[in-house]
Amino acid sequence: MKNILLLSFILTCLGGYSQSKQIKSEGILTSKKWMCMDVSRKKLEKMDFKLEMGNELRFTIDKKYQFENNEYNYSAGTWKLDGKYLYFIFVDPKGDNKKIITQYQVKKLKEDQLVLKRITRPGGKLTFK
Amino acid sequence: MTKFITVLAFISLSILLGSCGGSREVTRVDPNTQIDLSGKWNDTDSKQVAENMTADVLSKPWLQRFMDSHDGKRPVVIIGDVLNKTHEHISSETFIKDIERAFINSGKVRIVESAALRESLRDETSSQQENATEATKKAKAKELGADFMMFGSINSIVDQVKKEKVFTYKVNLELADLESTEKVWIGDKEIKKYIKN
Repeated sequence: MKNILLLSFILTCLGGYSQSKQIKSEGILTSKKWMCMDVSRKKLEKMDFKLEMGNELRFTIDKKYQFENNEYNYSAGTWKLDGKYLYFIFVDPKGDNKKIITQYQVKKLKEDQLVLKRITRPGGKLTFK
Repeated sequence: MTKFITVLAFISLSILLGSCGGSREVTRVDPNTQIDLSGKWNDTDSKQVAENMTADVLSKPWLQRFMDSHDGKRPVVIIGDVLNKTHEHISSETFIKDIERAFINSGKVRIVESAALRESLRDETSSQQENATEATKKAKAKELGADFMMFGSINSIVDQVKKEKVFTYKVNLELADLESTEKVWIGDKEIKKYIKN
């Protein structure tokens, strides 16, 4: 009985901790406009929607995001942070009325730096400041 | 005489103290800094709406569809009225200009002047017919006809109990095909603020 109580207490504490960590992370993401400072792979710069140094990314509190690349191409939709993973959900601009989801892993999230590892192919690492 | 000097000294002291009491400090700050004083609509809200709407309208399929069906021709857009239906004065011009700038910078959309400014341009063209040289005067009836019109509204809801207030602003923008009247895009942005005095 004692063990069950202790286990439920630990689980509640862990749940509370992960929830507060998530809120803190979301607060950092929405706090400023992020500028891409480094793209690890050339492949990302050769996609239809090019990801390059100088691109701007903004997360807003209503879970919408705006991404502007150097060719003034835009991506807009919703974002979702799930633990270490960040998802971008947007409508295919090619006209198929299809939602596309891209997945990233948050490698580093500080007030002055955001490092995302792209899980969706082509993979690579993006550093924002 | 002494009485007169005392009164004069008293008046001078009052003026001096009065001017000290109303001292004001002005500091220049980064225009991107978020400063909320009253909780009402401010520059940060305007910027957020502009960024959100710009990215949304330029990333949606209507643009590609239009270009595909018109041999790659760029759509011509005119910005119509954005009605302020809120409880306070809001200038929609600030974010509308940001959207127009983004349209032009993108190179994917062409923008024509609004109805009021078109009249001014027509007056100038008419004036040129009489006053400008033959080589430099601009021809009439050569305007670019718009394919789409953007218009919308800003609404607000205020909820208040004692010292607590919630301001909700909702900006709706629409883009409609001028020929078919079909709505090709609707964008909305909601801003909610909780104020505790």
